[in-house]
Amino acid sequence: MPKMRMQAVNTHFKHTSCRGVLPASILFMLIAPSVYAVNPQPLLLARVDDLASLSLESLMNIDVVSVSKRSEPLQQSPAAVFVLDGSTIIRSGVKSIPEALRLIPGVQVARLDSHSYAITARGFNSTVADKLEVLMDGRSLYTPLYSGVFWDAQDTLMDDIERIEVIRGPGAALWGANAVNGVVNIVTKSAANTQGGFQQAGGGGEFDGFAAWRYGGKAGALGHYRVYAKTTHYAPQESAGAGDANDARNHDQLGFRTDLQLSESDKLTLQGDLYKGRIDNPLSNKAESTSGYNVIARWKRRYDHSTDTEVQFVYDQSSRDDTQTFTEDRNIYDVDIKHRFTVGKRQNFVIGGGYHTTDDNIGSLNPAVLKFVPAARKDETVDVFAQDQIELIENKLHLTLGAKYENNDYTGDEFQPSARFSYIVDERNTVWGAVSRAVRIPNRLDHTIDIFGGILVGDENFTSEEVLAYEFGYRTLLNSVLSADVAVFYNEYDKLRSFTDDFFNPQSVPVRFVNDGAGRTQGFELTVRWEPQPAVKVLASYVYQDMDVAVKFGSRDVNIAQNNENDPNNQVNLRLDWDIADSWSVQARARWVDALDDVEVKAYSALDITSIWRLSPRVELSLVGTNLLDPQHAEFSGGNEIGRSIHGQFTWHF
Amino acid sequence: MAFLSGDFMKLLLRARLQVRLCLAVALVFFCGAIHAYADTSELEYRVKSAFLYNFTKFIEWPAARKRADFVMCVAGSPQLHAKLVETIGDKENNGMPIKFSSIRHPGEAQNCQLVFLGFMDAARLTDWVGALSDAAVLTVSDDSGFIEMGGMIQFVIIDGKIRFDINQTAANRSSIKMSSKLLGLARNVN
Repeated sequence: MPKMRMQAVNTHFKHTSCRGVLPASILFMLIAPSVYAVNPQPLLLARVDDLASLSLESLMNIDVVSVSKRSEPLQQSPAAVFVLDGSTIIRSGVKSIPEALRLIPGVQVARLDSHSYAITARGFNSTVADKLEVLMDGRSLYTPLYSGVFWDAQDTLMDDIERIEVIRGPGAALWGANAVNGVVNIVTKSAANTQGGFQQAGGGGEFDGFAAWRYGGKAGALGHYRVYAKTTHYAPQESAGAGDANDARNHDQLGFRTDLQLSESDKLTLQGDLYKGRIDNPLSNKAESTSGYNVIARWKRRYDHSTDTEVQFVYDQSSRDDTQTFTEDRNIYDVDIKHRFTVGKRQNFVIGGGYHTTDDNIGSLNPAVLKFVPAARKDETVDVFAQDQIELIENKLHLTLGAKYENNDYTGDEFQPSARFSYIVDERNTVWGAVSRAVRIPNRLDHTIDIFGGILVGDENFTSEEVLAYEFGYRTLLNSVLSADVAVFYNEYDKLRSFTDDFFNPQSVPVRFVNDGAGRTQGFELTVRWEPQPAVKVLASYVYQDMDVAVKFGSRDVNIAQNNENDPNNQVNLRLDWDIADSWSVQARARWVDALDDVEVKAYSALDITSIWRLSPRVELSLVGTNLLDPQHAEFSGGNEIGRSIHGQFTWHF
Repeated sequence: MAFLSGDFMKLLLRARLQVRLCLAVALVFFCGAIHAYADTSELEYRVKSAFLYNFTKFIEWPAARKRADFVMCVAGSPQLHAKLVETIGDKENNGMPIKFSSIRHPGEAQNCQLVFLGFMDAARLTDWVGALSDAAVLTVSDDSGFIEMGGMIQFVIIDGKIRFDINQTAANRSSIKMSSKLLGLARNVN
């Protein structure tokens, strides 16, 4: 429903149904990146003790200034964390954020067409998946409309991404109410790291053409700036039947970032983006449109190695017109503060709070199909959080206790606590575990939607969905070239969204949303890294998960399982990075994704290969082939398929 | 923990004082903050040691320079010398064991393939760079003016992370060949 396309009402609705209407929360929270107690340092499972075996790219990611007692190497973090660094994204040749997320084990990415994705972690996937918190430079990307992300509106210069941190499992104690199943935190490079010029242009395959430009320079004596602009024109994707999906689109974006060192201890970051996109709509001769802009101001003061304060302001405006059912204009204002400090030698605290408000205006283009009542609404949220990381046994046992309290306009008070531990068995082995409670706060959809002229309506008594999550993990460095990371999880969900009645055969109309669902998910995630030689890196992952969702006794909703269990039971990923020659690098990625039975999507395999030739230190030529194994395949419901694509690009640094 | 109670929160919502509250809460904790210590320089030297080792994989020295041992030399930084031995003491370069040497005069650099210059003093650095300019020795330093002086690789710290600039002209002059991968990872190439 990034498109809320409800035309082919009954058939279409059957498939996307709850999916099409499944929401999540409104509370975009938290503060800037890297707050996790864990503070994941992209050490990529390597220990500080084994620095000599790290590649230059990995070494360039080690924070040698702020690494201290408070930020642990990834190897020891008490959560299922994965950090994808920018150099791997560049080597992959991917051109969008959702495609970059495919590089991360445990993130479920299914593409529907040229612009729609279903993305989640640990289950409940749909185009309006609502249990993932997604942030870019501290700005929440998910919409308070349905608590999911309009992926077609999210972009940045891919080469400017420093890293993407993903935490699977609840992160609500620090990250906010949407962090039920996971947190995706996209961090862009500081302006000082993107000095000089960058140009890129290419096309072919799924792209009619694309170009990007960036220039970075010094902002006086205080710091650095960069400005960028990019345009991407996507060709139509494939239809399951004859012909293409008639969904060509383009997205233009420009932006800037300035990082200023105001004094020895004060840093100020100002950044912003402006974008405009259009998507051909096969059902209309008018293209759908998206547009928006955002600005972020972030001030950070460092007192010493372990004490700092950060204040952040975000303003985000977005507009969308799907030309068929609805238009939306939305403003989001966030203020967040967080402070880190130590108490004694063994306790690291992070405390903070925030105020978030959003106002919207949702117009109906076809009230008989979809409208929101009222059309305009303003919501506010206030939160405070605290986390204490306690070193119970020096260099051995850490306990992390955290909690977030918030008050929102939908459900009032919410409390989300978590407890985590990590036990460092020895230099090469770490065991961790966690128990957390998180909630998915209701949103605009849950409370105020009206579909098919009053057949399905939101209900303001709909309350938060809840999860109680149990996790356990083990990381080991088997030898200097081989490491493994295992996580198992068991999540109990309660008050899941269901219908008051059998939607297709109701006894009474309107059908409403109610919290009559419950269920559990369980799974196993294994990631293995093998670096047999400095020039060869292999990453392999296997994810198993099993979901069981049902309504409580007495409910007439017969579709809840079908509406929620659209996740592959098994998924295997393999990635090979190989510097074949000094000036020639190749990345090959293969994946196998199990079938989605309820939406009749077959299991599929895909192979992507990216080859980069460095013609000179300043010029690169890349050839990127994706989905090479078949002409086209479906990854999710919706009737469209994703085609094989080969594109080329030139990158020039000046 | 009175500020965590729900009623109080609602009151705040009405009063729109949230931001000030958060600040106040933060300030209360400031007072209790205890200054911690962390030996960052140690990690910095260790990471730099690992960088130096990595550089050698992407650099070709002129054939005349090849000897039985690969020698990394350090001048003006005993700390780095210690960390080099600790971090990469057991490594090899093209099958040759890597040896480490602490040197005091440019004249002692004739057996070195690489010299790290730890001096703070620009005049001294310039002297060393001048003396080594024809010697097929890779010169590396932290000094912010090192590239301009004719040094080959200069470390810079940006946002707490180590980057490096390369003076390719200087390296070429000494017949030291850097791979395009290394040049590609550099922040700036002159």
